Amino acid sequence: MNSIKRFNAQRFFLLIRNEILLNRGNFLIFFAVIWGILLLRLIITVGPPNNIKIYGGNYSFFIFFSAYIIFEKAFKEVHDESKGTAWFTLPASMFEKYVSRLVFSIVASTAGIAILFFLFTAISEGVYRFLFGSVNAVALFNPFNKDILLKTVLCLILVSPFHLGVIYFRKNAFFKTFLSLLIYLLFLCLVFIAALKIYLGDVIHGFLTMSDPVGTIPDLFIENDTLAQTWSITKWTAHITFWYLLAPLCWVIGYIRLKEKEV
Amino acid sequence: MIEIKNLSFAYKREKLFSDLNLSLTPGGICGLLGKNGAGKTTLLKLMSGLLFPQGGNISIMGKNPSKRPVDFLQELIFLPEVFDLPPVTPEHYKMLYSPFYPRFSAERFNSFLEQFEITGKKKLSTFSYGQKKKFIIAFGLATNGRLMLLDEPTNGLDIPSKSQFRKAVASCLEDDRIFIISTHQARDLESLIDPIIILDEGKIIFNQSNEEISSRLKVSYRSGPPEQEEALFSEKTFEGYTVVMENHDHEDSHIDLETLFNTVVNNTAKISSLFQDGGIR
Repeated sequence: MNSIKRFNAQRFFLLIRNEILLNRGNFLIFFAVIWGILLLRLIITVGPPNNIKIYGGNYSFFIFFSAYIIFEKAFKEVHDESKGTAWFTLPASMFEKYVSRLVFSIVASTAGIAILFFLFTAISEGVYRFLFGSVNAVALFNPFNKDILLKTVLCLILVSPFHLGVIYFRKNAFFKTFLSLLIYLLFLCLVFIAALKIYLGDVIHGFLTMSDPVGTIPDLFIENDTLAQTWSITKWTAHITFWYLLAPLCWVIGYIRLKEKEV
Repeated sequence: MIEIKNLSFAYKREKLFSDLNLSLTPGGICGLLGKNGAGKTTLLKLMSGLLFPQGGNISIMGKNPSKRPVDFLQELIFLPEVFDLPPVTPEHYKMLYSPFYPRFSAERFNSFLEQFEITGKKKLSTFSYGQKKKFIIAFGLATNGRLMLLDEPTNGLDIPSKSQFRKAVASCLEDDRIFIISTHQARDLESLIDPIIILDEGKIIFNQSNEEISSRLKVSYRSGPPEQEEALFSEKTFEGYTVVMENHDHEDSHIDLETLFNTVVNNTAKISSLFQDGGIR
């Protein structure tokens, strides 16, 4: 019974439908701006047309920022009294409301950018062929390329703490999240250094200077079995945490935070 | 229907409610009156689950509003004083949001829109404040929700619209439905609200039906100032004095909301003891 109350597929799809219908105008503008940027980039890189990869580094940048901007726009209203009241009192569970917007922002950004890049490269290639008769002027964008898929997943993981920031911070969420992450990373570095000093105090002097016969810190890890094992476990934990836990954790905390949010 | 027990709530360090109790049954249009900052809007927000109590509990139709359960939200319409409508037409709005309300009546919705003279295909965002308010009231009434919380609903409405509002609300009153209307515009809703709840300094100092009020209080108009002992409240007007007294001889008299409010706020202890038997809370 509880699960029925918490999740109802019909309501979930109604919420998704409403997101699409209420935001289609904004999307057109947003994607038109990205199209314009790509066009500008293409014009700047015009030279002998030879398989130009106009999407190159742009893809990750656009995926990251569109996933952030669409999510930010969707959840901005939870901090706004007049808009938030309507959203919080809409008859759907918080789980349905939150997940529908999360899924919507992820799908809209990734699928939107992928389709846009594909269309852009295809049309550019067509124009090149028409104007210059050349073939393979612009490398056709393939969203299912392994590298592209990996970049997409990486961007979604990197943007997830910023999604949490949107729900936590009322104003300037991006910069506040960025600063929070910096402070958190600094803290992790300090913990790492403190651990090294505690366990390897006899071979490390000053901040991180090694005693001469020992060599560098990586040498130490290779030469000492226990340290090598610890290092390997640490790396494995970091890998799992980053690739599999970070994004779900941020999204779950975001959901809990929303449940506790007052307007 | 609504049971509030020992409710306490504070904004940061500013205590608003402590040990507030209130019990309301369906089938009425409750008028929630109070000075600015008395806590009317906060109480409505607590009832709608937008704010959470810091102590005590609220139970509405057996549900805890803080948990925002779907079956509670399907029965709730909360019209805040400041609200926002998306840039869509009324028909489009109905298509977007009516499926969330299982008892929504499209027929009633269209009839209310007609009553409120909202026609055409203009976008809601281009409507005036009063038109927006009429639209959202029409939608809310058409949902057939059992709990309607309206915060200053007549603010921004023109004179004909106020009368249309009264008619629309009166036509929707049913035995299993409750309206709670918070207002400063006492005269606008005078004929509509019963019972009357007065909130002052975070406490409910008065909660009585119109019948109870007229059986215990009477109003008379004098040319000169009244005797200190007989008057619960008196006010100088252009023509003389309006005097509120105990209704010892059970005379028929009508006390307007503004006078009642001033009487209660200025003479809380005496009014409280006078209504003791009637169950002042």
